[in-house]
Amino acid sequence: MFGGEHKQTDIAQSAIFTTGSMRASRFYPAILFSFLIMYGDYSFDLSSKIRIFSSYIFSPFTQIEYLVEDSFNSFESYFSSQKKLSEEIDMLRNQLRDLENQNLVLQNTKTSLNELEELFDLSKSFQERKIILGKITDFKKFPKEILTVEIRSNNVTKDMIAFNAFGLIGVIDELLNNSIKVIPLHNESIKIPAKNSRTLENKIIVGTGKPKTFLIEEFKKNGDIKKGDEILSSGLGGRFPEGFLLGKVTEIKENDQSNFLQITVENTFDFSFGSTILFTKP
Amino acid sequence: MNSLDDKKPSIFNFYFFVGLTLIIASMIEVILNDFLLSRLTLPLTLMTLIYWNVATPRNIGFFWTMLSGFILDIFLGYLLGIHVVIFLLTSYFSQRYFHRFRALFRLQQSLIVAIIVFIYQIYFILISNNFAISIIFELLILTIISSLFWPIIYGVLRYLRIKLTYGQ
Repeated sequence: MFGGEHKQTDIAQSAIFTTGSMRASRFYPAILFSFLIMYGDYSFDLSSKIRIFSSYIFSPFTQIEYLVEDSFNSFESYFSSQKKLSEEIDMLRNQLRDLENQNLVLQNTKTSLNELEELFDLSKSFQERKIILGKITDFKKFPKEILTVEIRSNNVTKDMIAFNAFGLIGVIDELLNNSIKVIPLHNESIKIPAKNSRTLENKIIVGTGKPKTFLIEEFKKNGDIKKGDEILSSGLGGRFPEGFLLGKVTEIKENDQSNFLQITVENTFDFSFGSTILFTKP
Repeated sequence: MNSLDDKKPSIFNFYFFVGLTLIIASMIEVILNDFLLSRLTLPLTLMTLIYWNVATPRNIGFFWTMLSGFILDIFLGYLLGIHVVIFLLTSYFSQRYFHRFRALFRLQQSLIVAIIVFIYQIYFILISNNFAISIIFELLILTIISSLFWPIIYGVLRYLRIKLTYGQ
């Protein structure tokens, strides 16, 4: 009887006088703590770190679905005639991938061989001059076009000129240990003694800074020049060899306030083409 | 004579049981969130929290309230503490007015829960800056679904509480 009374009292106390665990004295610090956590997350992105950590921890569980599916598939296919077929398909796929890789390698080799063939054809015109071959390792477009070429010879000098499969493409800008920096002929600082293959008239062409484009300096208005004229190196001054094609006349502009024509020469030589550069003295 | 008292579980068992139900509710909420093509969620954890605060206000501690809030923040991609603040506020007010809440009919309780859920969802709409006509529709639908869920959650948790307390 007394136990029952005790229980009634206990229930009454619990029901009427309880204030629960969430008293204001605990509630306010908890809210403050939550705001602190929020600020911490906003400032230091704590939640993404926790998310990454939790995804790492729970990854075995999230992978279970795939693991079970894979296991089921392999179990099922083991007892079916499809297994052999799927194995054969996998084998053929691998063979196909290998063949594609071989094809790529052979294509690269073919391109390199073609390039070397062009270079060796070119080198025949150098007769007894010494030639040095180098591998292109880097090409920079900014702030100016520069090719970095790796060489294994110490006989390269700064007066040498650079050729690729197209022909004459640049001059040496800087000699470094085992490498050379080459700038293109169309660089603004380069002036090339040239001649018109039709009229044999000598002139100077200068680089414009734009790829494959040159200007003819101080060509008088009464001079003989036409669109399509081929401009060759004249060899004067000994800086560049004679007889190499530099480009064709593509534009002739007349200015009333000047006695000279503005003539543009363009070629199709790609400065950064290929993987090999040939150096020789002019 | 004291058979009922003898069968009462220790306070720690009950405390952990409350925590377990909150964590399970938050897990279900996260999983449901992936399936529901809605920007809002069905607040099962909130309703579980309301139930425990009303049923056993002395046993529901800060730890589980905050933990379930953090779980939701982490897995639903909110800033840490967003759910915790609203859960703490809900717990505080539920415990303040639990006598009145207990005295209500189940239908009236559902209405109160629907109002709480409505405020809760608006809080998330404001936080995520997600104002659109379509979200109002989602808000109303989820509020109605939540009020329909309340008797189920109430019944299940009450059954579990009685089972754990008296073993009947």
